[in-house]
This record gives sequence, structure tokens and C-alpha cells, in this order.
Amino acid sequence: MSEQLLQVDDLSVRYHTASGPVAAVSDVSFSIDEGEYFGLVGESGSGKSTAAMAIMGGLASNGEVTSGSISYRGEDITDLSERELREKLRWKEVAWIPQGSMSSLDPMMRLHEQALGVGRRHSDLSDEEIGGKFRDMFEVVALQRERATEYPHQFSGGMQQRALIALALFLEPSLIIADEPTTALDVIMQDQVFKYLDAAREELATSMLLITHDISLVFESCDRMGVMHAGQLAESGSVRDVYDSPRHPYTFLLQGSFPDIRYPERDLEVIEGDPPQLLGDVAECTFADRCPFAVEECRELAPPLEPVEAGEDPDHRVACIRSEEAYDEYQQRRADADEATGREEIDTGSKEAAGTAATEGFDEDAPLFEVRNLEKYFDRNRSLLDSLFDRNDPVQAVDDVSLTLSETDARGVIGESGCGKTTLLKTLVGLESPTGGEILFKGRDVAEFGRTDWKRFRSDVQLIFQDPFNSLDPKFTVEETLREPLAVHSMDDRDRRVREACEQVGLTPPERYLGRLPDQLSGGEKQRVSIARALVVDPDVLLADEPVSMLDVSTQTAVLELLSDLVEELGLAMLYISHDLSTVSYVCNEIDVMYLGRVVESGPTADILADPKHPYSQALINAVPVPDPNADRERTVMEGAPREPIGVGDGCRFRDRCPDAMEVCERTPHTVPVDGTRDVACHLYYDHESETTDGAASDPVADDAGDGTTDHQADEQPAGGGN
Amino acid sequence: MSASSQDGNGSRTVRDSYVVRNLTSGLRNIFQDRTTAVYFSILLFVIIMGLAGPAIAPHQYDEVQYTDDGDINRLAEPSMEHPLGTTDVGHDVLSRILVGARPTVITGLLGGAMIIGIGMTIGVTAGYVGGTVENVLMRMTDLVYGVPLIPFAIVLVALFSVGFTESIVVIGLILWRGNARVLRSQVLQIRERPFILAAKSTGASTPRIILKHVLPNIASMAILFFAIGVGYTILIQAGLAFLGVSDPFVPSWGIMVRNAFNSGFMDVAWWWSIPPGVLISVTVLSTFMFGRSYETTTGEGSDEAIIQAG
Ligand code: SF4
Ligand code: SF4
Repeated sequence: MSEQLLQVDDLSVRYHTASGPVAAVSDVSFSIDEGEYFGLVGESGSGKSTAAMAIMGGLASNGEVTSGSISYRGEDITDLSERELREKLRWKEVAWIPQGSMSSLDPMMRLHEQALGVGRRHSDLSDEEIGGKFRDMFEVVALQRERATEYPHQFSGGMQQRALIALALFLEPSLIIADEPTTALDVIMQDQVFKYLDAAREELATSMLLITHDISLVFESCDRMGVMHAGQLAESGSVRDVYDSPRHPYTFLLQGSFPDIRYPERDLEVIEGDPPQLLGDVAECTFADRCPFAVEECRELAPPLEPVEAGEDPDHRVACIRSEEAYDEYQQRRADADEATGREEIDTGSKEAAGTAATEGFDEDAPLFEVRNLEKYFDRNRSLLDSLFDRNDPVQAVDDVSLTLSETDARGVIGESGCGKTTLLKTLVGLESPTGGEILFKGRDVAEFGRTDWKRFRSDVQLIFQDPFNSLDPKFTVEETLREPLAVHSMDDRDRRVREACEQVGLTPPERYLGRLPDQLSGGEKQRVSIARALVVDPDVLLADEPVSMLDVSTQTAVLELLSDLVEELGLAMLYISHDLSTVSYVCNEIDVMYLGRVVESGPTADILADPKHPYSQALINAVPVPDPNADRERTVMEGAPREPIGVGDGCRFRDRCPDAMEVCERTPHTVPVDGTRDVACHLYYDHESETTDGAASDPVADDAGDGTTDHQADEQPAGGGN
Repeated sequence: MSASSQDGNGSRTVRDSYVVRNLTSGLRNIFQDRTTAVYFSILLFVIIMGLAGPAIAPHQYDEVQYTDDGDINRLAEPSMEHPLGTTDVGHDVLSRILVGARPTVITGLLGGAMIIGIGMTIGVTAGYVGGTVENVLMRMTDLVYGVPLIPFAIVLVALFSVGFTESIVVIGLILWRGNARVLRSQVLQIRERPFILAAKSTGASTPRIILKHVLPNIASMAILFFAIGVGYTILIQAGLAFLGVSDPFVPSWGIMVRNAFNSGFMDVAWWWSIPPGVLISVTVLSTFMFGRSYETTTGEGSDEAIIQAG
């Protein structure tokens, strides 16, 4: 379209390691024009970050560019030292948003001082202008202008990331190199950042090299893209071409492995294995070990990156010798699969209950968990000043939450970080004690549990943790990890149970894994061991806290598949907690949306996805990137970030960000049924007249929710409420 | 063989292999690194000397040696007969060194064991249990931190009696403080790791969690601290002995240095004072360096930990 900004030719990077040189990037070429967004997608270990580091001259000391060239605006910058790069290009021309904000912000300097330092060195702006621009940027990333004078440690992790983005962008660079810039952010915030980036592209013709594992983000925001696997470009071309006619098996499997909230019931593709570590020279297709379409020839030479068949854009290149056949096979396979499963309705819990022998006191017919008006407040560490000024509002982490989990339910609790979902989980399993409300487990109040009840509870209810890298004892082999719960609960038949659990989670054959230490397992395998540890005691309920958020895309899918199969086959109930709507929608048939400690909407997944009622659910669902360049999604209009649940007092907690907020929202909304299928806590959905006359609440109205009254209400209120 | 008995056997072999595995992997680490192996062999040598020394000593350590003329063989220079010469009262230095190895080794092991034993109990309990227990234990530790070791030992020993064992016990009763602090902070970190949470949520009891999950994960640090404790005890005990705050009739290396010094012939009879002095230094140095390189090879522990351990 216009001037070429960045040109990377045949770039190869090698790391010298104890076990020999590792080819991290091999022969990668791409270019970025002015005003163009280029997305580089791949799993961790695919070399995408290394490529970016090489461009920025920031390779680790054992890394070396072995061949190829990088030029910026026609000038060769391959051999510039990091220092020269910094002087010449950094900030003003090329902004760099690295993955971890912690290491990139100077902890000893206030943020605006850091901006001043950068601005003075790299621009001719006056100090006031620098300050002004920086503060403007602060607003864009939804931080308060005034907070620009604070130190990095006064911000939370997500806020630091946003401050870093502000720092990188306030000098209006021509090219932004961003390595997973929004991975640490919540989806609404991510959407806002990209909304700004889109605007910047319009106004200033900013370009971007976006490095991410999230193919939907690339499909949605970028113009052209490259898919990397094991240090090589597997496929590159315009986003549209790659989306419409992907040619490399890795591309279309990756595309198929992403849960798409538009099709929650779609089967996901699982890509087996991990990207290989390449020692020495490569003389085969690096994807061959994972490729379902591999044939003999694939292992004979490394397929070169060549334009796809004639007649198409020559810019669309692929490195696969069987691209045509493979894609046809793949289409065929998916069609078959669709036919086999049919377009089944989501099964909302009609499965057979697993028969368990009744034990004293536990009502096996009662719902597994029944939570009524649960409340968990934390006292803050009070300083002397706080107590002087009577500032002792507790943190209302979980406030008035009710939910029911019956056998074979798969229920998802979704919300941004800090919404209280993890506290809810911890309170449910008794790792925190509630400050109000009650939790019934199989009909019995948890508060009255004795020792044996707890023991029973601890084997019936199992947790799966977010962080597979830390949730296994590093000194225990897989077998020891799996035997531990059995020993605690003095269960018999341990060998059989351990093997069974291994098989259930796909660690087959068990012998291969039993003797290994966590160090010798990949991330996905660790999470499988974690799940096996939960299954080994034959539980009724699994509580999963973001079980896949730290895993790579391909592994993520496999674990999601596993969880959803387990729920179906073993008749388990599951409570799945996550900030990621697409994974929740894949596994769960019911969803609770949480905001600042309260459940604002709950109901069947399909209904909520198709037609969210609560303004917050709407924003949340809107903000999820859609993996389709043709889809024209409106970006969320919501401003700001959630507050902290401190001293929030009465009223709808969402009202400061809600586009539909009205006067009555100063009062706490009741939870009422809407459309007969779900409960929503929002003033838009019920009649306030009845509430004021009949102070008790709106249940009478609510009971009629299925009929026209409420629907009418729903349609009318936003318009009426605007004044 | 019934299923259940087989099962019982199965779990026992696993538990055995669990301990064995960790030990062997620790040892393998040690011998992979050449310098660590060297320090380890020196320590091994000292220990063997402690075990076999009295048996292979050519003379009784307190047997007066005579010259052929029948005179007491005082301050003889090293010779074939007395490879390390004799003292001012005619004792064979080599024999005293060999015999003196045993009290030195005992000092180290006893002191080291006391230090790590008390330190670990207090540190782990405080770190894991938390709350009031932690407060009480840590205030106690702070209190002990305030005690100056050598003066305290002198006063104590002066008040009660001048004994060999007493001097070691006093050291042990004070030096655990650093271990307690560092191990507590280690346990605080481990306690927050998700695998502990996982164990809790499967219903494992507190002692079980400490035994199976916490201790193994601080084991290599504990070994390091034990080694350092051994070194410190030997060094300080030698110091106390030199000051006369130990039993002069237990022929430890420290006492030898003291005797040499008191005799007034220190500058003449180098063969008398230097060997025990060098041996003390080498032993102590080896324990420190061994602990140090063990820590680097296993990648656990920290500089701060070593400083604190004192
Ligand atoms: S070249 Fe062969 S192994 Fe490689 S992606 Fe294509 S079909 Fe698969
Ligand atoms: S109650 Fe009011 S502020 Fe809250 S979500 Fe509904 S309309 Fe918005």
C-alpha cells in the first residue's frame, strides 16, 4: 500500500546451549508496510518471540543471528548493537511492548519521570507536552491521569501492563512491536487497548508487529500474518487468504483448536505433542511428528516456503508439500465428524446420575452444592490512619452469591480478575471460611461438619489448579503424587486406581509416566497428572480454577476436551472458574457471570452467549475476539476498569461503567428470572413499581418472567432509562 | 498373594525408593562437580581420622617420649620417629593429632545436629503453623539473636563447669537461630505453593503435609545448614578451647593450639601449633565450601541464607 517499514529477510537465529546449537528461528522472511498490522502466531517455543527480540537487538547473550538481514526504512539494522538501536530507533520510531511489565518498568522511578526521561532523549517536545501526551495515553489505557505520578509498584499487575503500553505509545511511534501485549489483561481491557490501536492506525498510520498465541486476535486485528512452527514460517499471507483457505495443516488445526464462542458446541481439534526443539540442521518437515497428514516424503526434506498454487495472491505462501491434499482430507474429516455428532443441542443435565452408596447424613439426592447468599468479606490490614479516619470497609470479595450445582452439572463461573471467583471457589472447598450465608453439601451445612464429614468431603470434592507448574510436588514422581490421596483416604486397590486414573486422563501407557518427576513432564502432561490426582479418589465434583489458562493453545484444547469428556463419561459435576469465556462455553452448560463479588447473570450457556441480558455480560461477550477477519464485531464501548470491591455500598456495582445506568441503579438490583431460562440482577429487567409498594422484592413479577411483561420491560427500559 | 497385600508391598517399595532416590540424586550431584567432590573427600578423611585415629596413632597421646639417653624428648623437630615432632612435655604430636580428630568430629556432628535439629523444628513449625505459635517462636529466636555467643559461653561455663560436652551444647543452643529464621521463610514460601494447597484439599493432615511435602523440599537446604553448623561448631569450640573454656584434658585440636600457645614455645615449635591449626581451618573450610557448592549444584539455598545461618 505505501512505504515499506520493516523488512526481514531469511532471518535465522541460533541459541548456543549446553546440548548444542538450537535453531530457534530459521529462514524467516516477512515485511511490514506503513499502517499495516502483521501478526506472528505460534505456540510457545515456536520462535516468534525470538524473532522479535532479534529485530530489537535484544537477544539473550547466547543467541546469535546466523544469517539473514533486517532493515528498517531501507536501512540495514541487522548488526546494530542494542545500544545503537536504542538511540536511533527505540521509542520514537519503534516501540517495544515486551511480555512482562515487571522487568520493563524502573521500580525506582515514578512513571511520569520515566516518560520524561524517554521523551527528552527521543523527541523535541517540551516537558509539558511530554507530560500531557503521557497522561492522555494513560486515559486511553483506562488509568487515571493523576496516577501517572505514582511508582510502578503502586499498580496491580494488569495496571502495570497498561502503564507500560502507555509508555511505549505516547511518543506515537511508527512501528509497534508487541509481544503478547494483552495476554495478562482481561478481555474487556484487551478490547479497549486494541480499540485504541485501531484508532492510532487510522490517524497516524502506525504499524504493528503483533506476536501472540491467540490466532483470533490476529484474524481480527491484523492485515497480514505469519504462522510459526518450530522456528519456521509454516504459512504466511494476508489474513483473509489464510483464514479463507488455510494451506498448512498447522494453520487449520490451530484455527480449529480455538474455542469460538459463536459455536460453543463445535468439536475442537487437538494438535498432538509439542513443537520440537531443533538441534542442528533440519532435513524434514518440522511438523511431521504432529501432522495427521504426514507421509514418507515429508521426512525427506524440509518443505520450502513457496507461493500456493497459481492464480492466488503470490504473497500467500506455505511450507507444506501436501497442502492441497491435506486440506481436502481435513474438510472431509470435519464434515464426517459433524455428521456423526449431528448438531446436537447442548445437553442441559439430563444425564443419568451416577449411583453412589448413601452415607450417614448425606442426602445423595440433594444437589451436590447449594450455596445460599454466600458472603466472604476480608478485613484489610488496617493502618493507624485508617482506624483514625474510620476507613475500615472490608473487601467484599464475595457478596450475596447463590448457586446450585447438581450432579452432572457443568457450571462455569466467569468474570474478570478480582471479581471474586477464586475466593468463591476457596470458600466452597473450605479453604476460607464464609462470613455469611451458607453452603450445603449434599444437603448438609458445611459449617456443621465434623472431622469425618470433612474427610468424606475432601474425597468427594476435588480441585484442579490453575498453575500446573506448581501444583505438583517437585520431589514426587507421578505415581507418588497419585498414591498420596489414596493413602490419605486409606483406599484399597491403589495400583488399579492409579493406573485407571492415568488412563482416564490419557497418560497412556501409564508405565511411561508413573516413574517421572514433574520436571520431566510437559505443561499439558502436568495438568493431566493434576486431573488424574483429582480423579483417583473417585470424586463427585471437580472444582477447576482456570485449569488451562497457563497452557499452550494446542495443549489447552486437549485438556479442555479431556475435561468435557470426563464430565460426560464419568457423570461428574464440575464447577469451572475462568476469565475466558470461550473455554468456559466449551466445557460448561450453565454459566454464572460475576462482577465485583456478585453474580449478575446466570443461565444456560447457549442462551447467554446468544443473547446476554445483563449489560456486563453483553460487554464481556462483545469483547471476545472472533477468529474471523470477515466478522465485523463492534468493540466494547465500556470505559474504565472494575473498581475494587471495597466500600461499594448500595447500588448496582456495575453502574459506573454501565452504558444503560439510570437513577434507580443507586439501589441494589434484585435477581429476577428473565425469559424463563435465567436469572439477571439488573434494574432493566423488572418493574420497580411493585418493588416500592411491596418492599419484599419482585418475586411476584419474576414468576411471570416467561410471559410478555418482563420482555416488554426489557425492551422498554433502556430507552426510558436514558433520561 | 492377595491383591491387598501386594498393594501394601507396592506402597512400601515406593516409599523406600522415594528416600533412596532423593539421597542418591543428591550424592550424584555432589560427585558431578569436581570441587565439591574434593571438599567431600576431605571431610570424609577427617571423619575416618576421627573413627580410626586413636587406633592407628603410633603412641599414646599422653605418653611421654624419651630420647635414647633417657631424657624427656622435649620439643623435638620432626624426624622419622616423630614425624611431627614432640611437645614441650615430650608428647608425640602426630599421635595427639590423630587422637584429637575424634573430639573434633564429635564436636562438629553434635553441634551441627543440634543446630539444624532445633533450628528446623522451630523454623518449620513457625513457618507452617503460623499465628500465635509463629509469633512466640520467632520472638524467642530474636531473643537468642541478642545473645553474644562467646561471652555467654564463657559465663555459662564458668558458672557451671568447664566441660567438653557443655561447651558444644552451649554453641548448639545458640547457633540454631539463623537456621530457624531462614527455614521459616523458606517454609512460608513453600506453604503458598499450590501443591500444598492440593494436598490440603485432598484432606492430608498437617503432620503429613509437613513430613511428605515440606521437609523433602527443604532437605537440601537443611543439608547445607548442617554442614555449615558443623563448621561453625568446630571453629567456635576450638576458639573456646583456646580461651580455656573447655575441658583441657580432652585432647582436641583446639586444646593443642592452646597448649602450644601457653607453653611459650609457639614461635619455636611450629610443628606443634601449625598442624592442628591447619587441620581446623581445612576442616571448617571444607564444610563451608562443601555446603556452598552443594547449594550451587542443586540450585537451592541462597547467599542470604548462608549469611543468615551464622
Ligand atoms: S509437509 Fe507433510 S508433515 Fe509437513 S505439514 Fe505438510 S503434510 Fe504435514
Ligand atoms: S442495574 Fe443499572 S447500572 Fe446495573 S447493570 Fe443494570 S442498568 Fe446497568
